[in-house]
Amino acid sequence: MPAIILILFILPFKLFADDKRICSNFYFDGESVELTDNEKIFICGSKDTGWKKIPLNQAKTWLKSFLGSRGYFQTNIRKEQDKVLVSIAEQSFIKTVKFLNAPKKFDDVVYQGAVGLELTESNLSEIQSWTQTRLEAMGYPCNEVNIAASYLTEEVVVQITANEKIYINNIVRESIRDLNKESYSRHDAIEKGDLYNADFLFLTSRRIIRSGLVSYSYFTHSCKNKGQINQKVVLNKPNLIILGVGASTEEFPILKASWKNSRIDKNGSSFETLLYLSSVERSIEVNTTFFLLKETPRLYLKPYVRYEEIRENIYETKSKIIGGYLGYDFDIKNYALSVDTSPSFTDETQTDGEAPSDSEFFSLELNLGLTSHYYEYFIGSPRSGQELLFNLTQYNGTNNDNQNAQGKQFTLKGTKLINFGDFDPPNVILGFRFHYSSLLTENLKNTPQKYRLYLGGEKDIRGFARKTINNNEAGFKTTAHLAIESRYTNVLPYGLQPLAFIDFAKVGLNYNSFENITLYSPGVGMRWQSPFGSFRTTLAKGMKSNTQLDVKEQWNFFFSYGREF
Amino acid sequence: MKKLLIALTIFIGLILTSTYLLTSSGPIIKKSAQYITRNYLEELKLDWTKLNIKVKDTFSSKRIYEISYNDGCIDYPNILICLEKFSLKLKVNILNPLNSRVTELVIDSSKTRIKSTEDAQTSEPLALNIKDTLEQMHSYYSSFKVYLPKDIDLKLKDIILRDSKSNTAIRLFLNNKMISLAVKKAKQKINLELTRDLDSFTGQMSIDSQQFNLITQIDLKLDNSIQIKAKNKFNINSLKNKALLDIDLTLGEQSSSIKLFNGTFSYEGIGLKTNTCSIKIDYSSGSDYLKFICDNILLDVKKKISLKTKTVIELLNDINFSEDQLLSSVSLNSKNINQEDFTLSLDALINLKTVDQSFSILYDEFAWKLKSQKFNKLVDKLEDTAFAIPAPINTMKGEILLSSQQIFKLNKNNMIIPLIADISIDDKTKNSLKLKFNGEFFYSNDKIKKPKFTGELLLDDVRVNIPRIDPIGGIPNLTSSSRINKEIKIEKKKKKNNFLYDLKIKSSSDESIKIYYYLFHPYFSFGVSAHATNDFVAYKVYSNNKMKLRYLKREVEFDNLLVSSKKDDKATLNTTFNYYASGYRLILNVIGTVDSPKLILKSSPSLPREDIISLLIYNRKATSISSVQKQSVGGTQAAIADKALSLFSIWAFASTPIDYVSYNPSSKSYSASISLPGDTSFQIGTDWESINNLTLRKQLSDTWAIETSYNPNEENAKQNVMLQKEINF
Repeated sequence: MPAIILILFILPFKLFADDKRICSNFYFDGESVELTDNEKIFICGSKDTGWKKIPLNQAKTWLKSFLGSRGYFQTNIRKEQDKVLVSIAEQSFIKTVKFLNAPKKFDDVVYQGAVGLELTESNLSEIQSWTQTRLEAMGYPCNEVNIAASYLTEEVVVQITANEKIYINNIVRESIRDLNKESYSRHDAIEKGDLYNADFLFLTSRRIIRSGLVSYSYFTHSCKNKGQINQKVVLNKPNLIILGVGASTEEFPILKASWKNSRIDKNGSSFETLLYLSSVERSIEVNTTFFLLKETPRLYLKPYVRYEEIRENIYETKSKIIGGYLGYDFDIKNYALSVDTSPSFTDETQTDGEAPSDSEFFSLELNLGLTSHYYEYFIGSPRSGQELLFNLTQYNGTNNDNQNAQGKQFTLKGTKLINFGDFDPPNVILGFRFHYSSLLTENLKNTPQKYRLYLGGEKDIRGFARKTINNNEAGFKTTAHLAIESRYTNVLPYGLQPLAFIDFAKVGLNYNSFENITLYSPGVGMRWQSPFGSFRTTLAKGMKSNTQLDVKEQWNFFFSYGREF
Repeated sequence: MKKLLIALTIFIGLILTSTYLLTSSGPIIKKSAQYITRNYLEELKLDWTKLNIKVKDTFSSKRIYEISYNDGCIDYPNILICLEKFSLKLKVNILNPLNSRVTELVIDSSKTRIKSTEDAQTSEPLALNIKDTLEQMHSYYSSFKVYLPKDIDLKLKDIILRDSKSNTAIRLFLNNKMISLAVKKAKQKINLELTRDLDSFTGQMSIDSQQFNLITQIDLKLDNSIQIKAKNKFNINSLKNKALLDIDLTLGEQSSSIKLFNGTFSYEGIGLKTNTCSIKIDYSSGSDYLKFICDNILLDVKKKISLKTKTVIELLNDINFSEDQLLSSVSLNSKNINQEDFTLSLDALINLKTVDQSFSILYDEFAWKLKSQKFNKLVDKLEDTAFAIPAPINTMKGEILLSSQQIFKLNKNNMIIPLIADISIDDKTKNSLKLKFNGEFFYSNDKIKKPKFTGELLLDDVRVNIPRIDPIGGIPNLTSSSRINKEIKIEKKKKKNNFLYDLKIKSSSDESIKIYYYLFHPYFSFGVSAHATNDFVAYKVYSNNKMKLRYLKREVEFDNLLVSSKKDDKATLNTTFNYYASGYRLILNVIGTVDSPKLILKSSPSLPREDIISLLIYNRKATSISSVQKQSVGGTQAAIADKALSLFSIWAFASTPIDYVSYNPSSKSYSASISLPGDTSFQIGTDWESINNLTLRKQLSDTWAIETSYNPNEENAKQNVMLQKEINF
C-alpha cells in the first residue's frame, strides 16, 4: 500500500521531470520542445570517438541553432548547480511578408501561405519558392529572390530582382523514335510568342501525361539561352490496362476496366476499350482516336461503338451507339478551345420509364468548349477560372410505334470560380455554376430517353435527390439551374473547408420557356482535401416557390469523393 | 758632491717656491689660466676682468680657493653660458691633492644657450652594460662623494638647449635642502622635486607628454650604498592602458639589487599583475643576462581567463642608446615562463623612441614562443569559459606551438608582425589536427595603409570523426539561419574593408583531410588548396579517394571530387560516383555550381539516360519497369534537368533505394519516397503535398493509384475518384 501511494505521488513528478529533460544534464525550464535524437547527440555527446563530451559553450551554440530552426530565437541557457536550464521565450511567427521591387501585377495575388506559421528557415524557403513560382508564372524565369526576417518584429522581407520578361521564341522538343514531335505538341498550352509561364508549361506536361502518350514530360529553360524552352519526354509502353473501383452516393459501387494502346502510329493515335459498371450505369465502349495529319496534330477523328445500360430510379434504358467525332482543339491566350462534331446512330431500348420502349435515331452533335487554363490548372483543387460548354444536337429517327422521333436540343453550361481577394492560398472561393438546356420537339412522348431533361442531384440542385424533378418521370423540355457557392478554406484546421450554397432551378414544359415556379435549395457542406483526393459532403433543403409542381420538398445529403463544385 | 746637493736643494726650493707662489696667489693662478687659454684654448672666450680667484691659508699646505665669476658669459663654440653669479670654494691640500673637496658652490644663471651643430653626424649607438653601469655609478659615488660640496646653491634658469629641431628649456635649483629640476621640450615636460635630509632625498618625478604620463615617487638614500625606491604610475595615452610599478634599487659595492613590486598593467581587458620580481646583480659574475625572478605573475584576460605563474625573466645585460631621436633600446629575453600548461619564451629588442615630440614604443626585434605541451590541460582549463575548445578537438592530446621568431620589421610608420603556429594534436584514432601556419600581420600608423593579415596554412593531417547520426532522422541544423536576425538584414553591396587579409590554405596531399563516418568505408579523404582575400575566395577541394558509401543495403563507390572556385566566380563542382547494378557501371557525374549542381549520367556499357535512371532507382532497365516507375524516372529526369536537386538529394538518389519520385517543375518541388526496412518509407525533398495539390492522381504503390477522372468535353462528365490497378505493357 505505501508503495502504491509512493508510486502515485512520485510517478507524476518523475514523468514531469523526464518531460523537461532534454538529455544528460540539460533540462527545459518552463516550456519544452521536442528535439530529435540526432540533435541530442550534438548537445549531450555520444559514444563516438571525439564526441563523448561536448563543451557547454558549444552545446549552447548548437542548442540555440536547433531551437532557432523551430522559431525560438530568444533562448536563455544557464547553469545552475549540476543542471543546465534552457528557457525559451515565445516562439516567433511570420506576421507579415513584404515584397520589395516586385514587378507590376505581382501584388494581384496576395500571398499568405506561410503567414501565421513559425518563423523558420524552411518556411522562409517556402516563401522564396512561392515568390519564384509566382514570378515564373508572370514571365520572369530568370529572377533572383533574397529573403530576410526579423524575429523581433516577425516581419519577412522579400527582395525581388525580376530581371527581364521572357517571351517564348523557340520550343525544342526531344526526338523520339516512335513518335512525331508534333504528336505531343498538340497538348501545348503555350506557343511561340507567348509570355513565359511555368504554370502553363506544367499544365502542358500534365495534359500529355494524362493522354497516356508518354509517361512523363517536362520543360527546361536556361537563362543563358533566354526564350528557348526544351521539352523532354519519357516514353511509356503503349499498352495500359486499368482495373479500377470507386464509389459515390449516386453510384455504388463503381467498377472500371480499360485497355488503351496510346501509340498505334507515329502521330500518337490511340485505341481504347472501356468497361464501366456501377449501380447506375453499365457500359462498354471501343474507340479509336486518329490524328490524321502530322502537320495538323490537333485535328482528330474518333469513331466509336458503345453499348450502355442506364438504371435510374425513374427509367431504365439500353443503348447501342455507333458514331464518331471529328474535332479540333486549340489554345489561345489563356484559354483552351475545342470544337467537334459527332454524327451517331443509336438504338435505344426502354425497359422502364416514360420514353418509347424502342427507338432508333441518327443524331448530329456540335460541341464547343472554352476553358481557361487556370481552371484546368487548378482542377485538382478548384479555386479560379471559368469554363463554358455549348452543345447542339439534332436527332432524327423512329420508335417502336413507327412514330417519328426528331428534335433539336441545345445546352449551354458554365462554371465560374472566383478566388475572393486573390489570396494564395485562398480564403474564400466563390463559385457560380449554371446550365440551360432546351429541347425543341413536337412531341415529348416520342422523344428518346437520352434527350429528356431532368433536374435534381449533385450536379445541379442539391436539395433534391438525383433526377427527382422529372415531370412524373416524363422529363422537361427546358431546364436551367444556377448554383452559387462560397467555400471557406482557412477557417477550420486539418484542411477542413466549410461551404454554404444556394441552388436555383427552373423547369419548362415547352421549348425555351419556364413554368411559373422556382425551385431552390439552400445548404451547407464540408470539403476535405485529403492526400488521396477531395471528400465533399453537402446537406441541403429542396424547396419550391409554389405547389404547382409535383415535387416533394425534402432534405438531401450528398457525399462524394473527387467531385468538385 | 756638495755642489750637486746645493744645486738640487736650490732646484727643489725653486719648484716649491714656484708651487707655493703658483698655488698661493690668485692673480698668478689667473695669469697662468689666461696664458694657457690663449695658447691652448683659443676658442674659449670669457671676460677675465670678471674672474676673481682668492687663496686663503697660504702658509700651510692647505689652501682654500675662492673662484668667482659674476655677470659674465663664457662663450665656447655652440655653448653660451651667461652667469649672474658663480662662486666655488675649493679646499685643497697641495701635499695630498686627491683629498681636495668642494666646500661651496653657488651658480646663478639665467641666460645659457647651448647650441648643437646643425649637421652633426649620427654617432654609433652607445652600448650600455647595466651591470657595469651600476658598478660604475656606485664606484663614482663612492669615490667622489667626498668631493660633494657641503654647501651648494645651484640656480640654473632659462637654460636653452637648442638642437636642429627644437629647444629644450632646463631649470635647475640645487642646494643643501632640495633639488628641483624642470625640463621642457615641445610637448614634453619633466619635473623633479626632491627634498634633502642629510644623505637622503625624497620627492616626486613626473614626465608628461602627449603619448604617456609617468608619475614616480622617489626615495633616494646616499649612504655607503645607493638606495632608490620609486613608486611609478605609468599611462600610455594612445593605448588606454594603465600601469603601476614600485621599484627598489640598491647599489652596493659588490652587488646591486633591483626589486619590482605591485606591478599592475592593463590593456583592453587584459591585465597583468606581479607581486615581487627581484634581481640581484653580482658584479663579479660574467653573465650576459639579468635574471628577474617573479614570485607570482597573474595574467587576467577579461576576467575570464586567469593564469598564475612563477616566472623567470632574463633581461639582456646590454642596453643600447643611439642618438637619433632614440631614448633607449632594451633587449628583453625571457626564457621559459613556465606555467603548468604551457611555456612562453620572449626575445625582444624594444626601442623607446621620440618622433616629432611624441613618444612611442617600437619593436626592432620581437620574438616569442608559446608552447603548450599538454593540450588536454589547456582544454580542461578553458572548459567552462567562452573560449572552450570545441568537440571533437577537446578530446585530442598533443602540442601547440605559437611563435613569432623573426623580427618585427620596422620603419618610420610600418610594422610587420610575423606569426608561426605549429599544432600537432590528435586522439590517436579518428580525430587529428596537425597543421602549420606561417604568416604575418602588417600594421601602419599611416591611415591610408590598412592593416593586413597574410599567411599560409599547411594541413598535414586533419581527421574528423562525424558522430553516428542517421540521415533519415534529419540532419541537425548546426548553423543559425543567416536570414533570420534581430533586425532585417538584406544583402547589401560590399562594405569597404578596414582590414585586409590574404590567406592561403594548402594540404600536404590529397589524403591530408579524412572524414570518418559510419556510412563511409573506410573514410572519405581529400586535399584542399585555397586562397582567400577581401576581394575573392578561390579554392580547390580534390580527392581521388575510392571510398565506398553504404546505406540502406546499397553501395556507391566514390570516385573523385574537384570543387573549385576561381576569382569572382561561383564555386563549381565536379565529382563522380559509381553505382553497380545489373552488370552495369552507372557513373554519376555531378558538375556545375555548388548552389545548383547538374547531374550527368553515364554508364559502362553505354545505356540511354532513361535506363541509367531506371537502374539507379529500381535496379532494372526502363524496359522492365512499370508505368508508374517510369513516371518516377521521368520526375527524376526533370528534377535533374531543372537542377532542382540539392547535393544531399543527389546523394540520397544515388545511395538509397527509391520507391517513387514526384516532381513539379513549376514550383521545382520534388519528393522521393525511400524504402526503409520494416515496410516503412521516408520522404525526402520539398514538402510536395503541402505545396502542390495540382496532381490528379495519387500513386499508392507500383501499380495501384487513386485517380480523379476529368474530361471537360465529356457530356455529363463524371468526376469520380477511382482506385485503379494499372498494368503497363
